[in-house]
Amino acid sequence: MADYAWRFLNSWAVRALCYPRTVDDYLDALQPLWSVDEIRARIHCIKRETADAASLYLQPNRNWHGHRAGQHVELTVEIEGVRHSRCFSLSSSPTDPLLRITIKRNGRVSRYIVERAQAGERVVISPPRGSFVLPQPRPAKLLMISGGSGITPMLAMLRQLQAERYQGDIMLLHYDAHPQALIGHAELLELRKGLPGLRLQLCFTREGLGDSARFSAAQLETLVPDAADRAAFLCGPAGLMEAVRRHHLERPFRALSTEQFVLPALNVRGEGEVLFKRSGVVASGASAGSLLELAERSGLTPRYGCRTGICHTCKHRIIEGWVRDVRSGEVRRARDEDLQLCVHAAAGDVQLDL
Amino acid sequence: MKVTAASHQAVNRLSQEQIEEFGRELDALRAEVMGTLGKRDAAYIRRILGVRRSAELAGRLLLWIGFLPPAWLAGTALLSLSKILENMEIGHNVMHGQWDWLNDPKLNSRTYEWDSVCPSEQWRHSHNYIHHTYTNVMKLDRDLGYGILRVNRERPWHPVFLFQPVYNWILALLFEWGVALHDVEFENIGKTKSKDEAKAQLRQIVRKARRQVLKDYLLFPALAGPFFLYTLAGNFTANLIRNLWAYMIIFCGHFTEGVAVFRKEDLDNETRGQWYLRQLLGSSNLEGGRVFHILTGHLSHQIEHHLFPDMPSHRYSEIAPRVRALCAKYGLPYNSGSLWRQFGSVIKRIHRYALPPRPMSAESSVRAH
Ligand SMILES: Cc1cc2nc3c(=O)[nH]c(=O)nc-3n(C[C@H](O)[C@H](O)[C@H](O)COP(=O)(O)OP(=O)(O)OC[C@H]3O[C@@H](n4cnc5c(N)ncnc54)[C@H](O)[C@@H]3O)c2cc1C
Repeated sequence: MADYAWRFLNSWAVRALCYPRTVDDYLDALQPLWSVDEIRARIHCIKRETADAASLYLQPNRNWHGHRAGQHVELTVEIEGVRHSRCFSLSSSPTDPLLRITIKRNGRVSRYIVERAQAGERVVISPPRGSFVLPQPRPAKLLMISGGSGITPMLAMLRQLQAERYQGDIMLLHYDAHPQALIGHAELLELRKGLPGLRLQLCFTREGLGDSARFSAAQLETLVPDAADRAAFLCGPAGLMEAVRRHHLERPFRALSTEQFVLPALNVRGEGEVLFKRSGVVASGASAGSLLELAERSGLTPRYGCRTGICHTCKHRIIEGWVRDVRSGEVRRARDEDLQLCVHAAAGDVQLDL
Repeated sequence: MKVTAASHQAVNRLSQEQIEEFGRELDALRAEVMGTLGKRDAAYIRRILGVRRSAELAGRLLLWIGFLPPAWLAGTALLSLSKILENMEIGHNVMHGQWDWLNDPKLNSRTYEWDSVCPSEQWRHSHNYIHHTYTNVMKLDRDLGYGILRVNRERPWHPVFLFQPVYNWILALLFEWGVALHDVEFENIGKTKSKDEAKAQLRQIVRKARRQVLKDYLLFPALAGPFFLYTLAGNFTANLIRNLWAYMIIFCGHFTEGVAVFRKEDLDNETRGQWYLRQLLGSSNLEGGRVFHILTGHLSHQIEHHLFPDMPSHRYSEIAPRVRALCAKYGLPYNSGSLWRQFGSVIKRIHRYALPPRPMSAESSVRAH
């Protein structure tokens, strides 16, 4: 969309004409990528990386204003008519012509993207988020520790550094189950050509090497003796991240930045802990009949109406958690949806945006 | 539960256990439908959104050349259609949370703003909470006669009601504005509502109304340049037609002959089964074809809507035969009729209850338990 067209459509007058609908509601009818509010992107192509992973190359509309290598976006796709949003790191650098995200098949959304998404499909993305980025000025020595799909933000950083002709020393310590699972191997070899200081250390944990392939202080000592002099970047499965963080407490790196893909495992035993994220309050789910009561007992004052599930006044966003519908007794895992607090109780750990 | 309608003798015969069983069967029906929501439902609402948008765009375009009489008529009709779909099938139902499961920010019950001078936030309070929770309970359900009409015998008579056959029609014509002022609860100011609260609500209404008026009565007419007045008249008429239609459908939901009203005491320890029963006895349906149901926002299935306010509306038509069969099984009334029969009975009641009560021979009340 041309600049003047965008500015016209985003003007006070056009918005007033569309009210209470938005300009986008009408633009949708013309061209699904046009928008004055949202970052929408077309899937330009899909490249299979491994048996379990694929990269989406995205052509965003003009509302995208660039990112920094290492940041992630929230991607929204429509599956069977229902929208789902998940975070994905960008594996492309800001210097690349298209955005790229690389996704490993796991649950509902990732499976859909890897198996069924098609070139030409429209997705919605958030502005870039996160502070998992290379510091300015660039450190002389870097250590990147990643596991599985955690390599994606590293790929973005490496591409960025290559474009900058970075001359420093980079150690990429990557963990994966086996070589076939490794995402972006050819790309890493390619990157090495432009990055004279890049060394790759790949550890395969399911190749019969037992625990020796896993992260440990001893392993790090052998593979990266000067780890303490390096600015470290960490992204991977919860177990790996935990081990590296613990190590950092005892023998600190020069600096440590982390990006967490998965929340620590949620409990499904009885009633769990409820975290009211915005207010920073934690309460035990067992101590009240509903999440609404629990919030009130914890000193919060969410809006409510009927308190019996009719009016939907008390709806709040659940980030993730196990909930029980007190009307039917049904227990389910909920993620990123609006939940009626008055008729749901915690059936495991719950994080609420409240 | 005291049901004050002669037609409801059947309620009398049900035991408490039967009422709970009735409730459990409805719970199961709800769970069954909600468990199968998916692609088909998403396609339905998106199609309605598309039809509404096309109707509006075509209507606005035709009204732009509204100096040609056929264009004016067609434009006004299409704009009315768009406004009716938006208020009834989209806005009202989205705000009930019927489409929240789609996770679409444009169809979110907490943030949806409808094409009406009534601010959505106030509507959600007066309608979703007050009306749907206290349905047909005297002194609690403020939708029962909207404060200014006497639509049932139980409401004490006052000389002002002598004029209700007239001001009823004023309300009909200005329905959108009546709805907008509804949640301010003028009768409660100084009692359960503070002056400041009411003032804040009024300010919110003015802000919303200003934008609605600006769009329909200034900006779109201005775009038509010399034909300002044609567009203005078309927009005004479309809003009026929407008002009359919404008024008629909504009045047929709870003010028809045979609908029961309840007392505050009936709410004491009300069980799930009794709640369902109250919703059933307090609502009445309209019969018609598919398009008619869509144009009423499926409020023609008022009974099903009151039993399951957050079920996607187009499912009401599908489950109605089963709800009806369930009522037959328990010997419960299922109040349903054509628009003309039902609306005729509403108008009759508005006239009848304008007059002071005749001395009663036998008070026909039944007890449900
Ligand atoms: C900042 C950030 C960046 C990220 N970047 C990437 C990236 O670059 N690449 C990438 O692939 N991923 C990335 N992720 C992870 C991604 O956001 C998703 O969490 C991941 O793809 C899984 O989502 P899903 O919908 O496929 O799985 P979900 O359906 O949400 O399931 C998540 C996990 O829970 C399990 N689960 C689901 N339902 C149940 C149940 N009922 N009982 C038991 N277990 C269940 C699934 O098996 C799965 O292991 C990132 C996450 C964050 C927070």
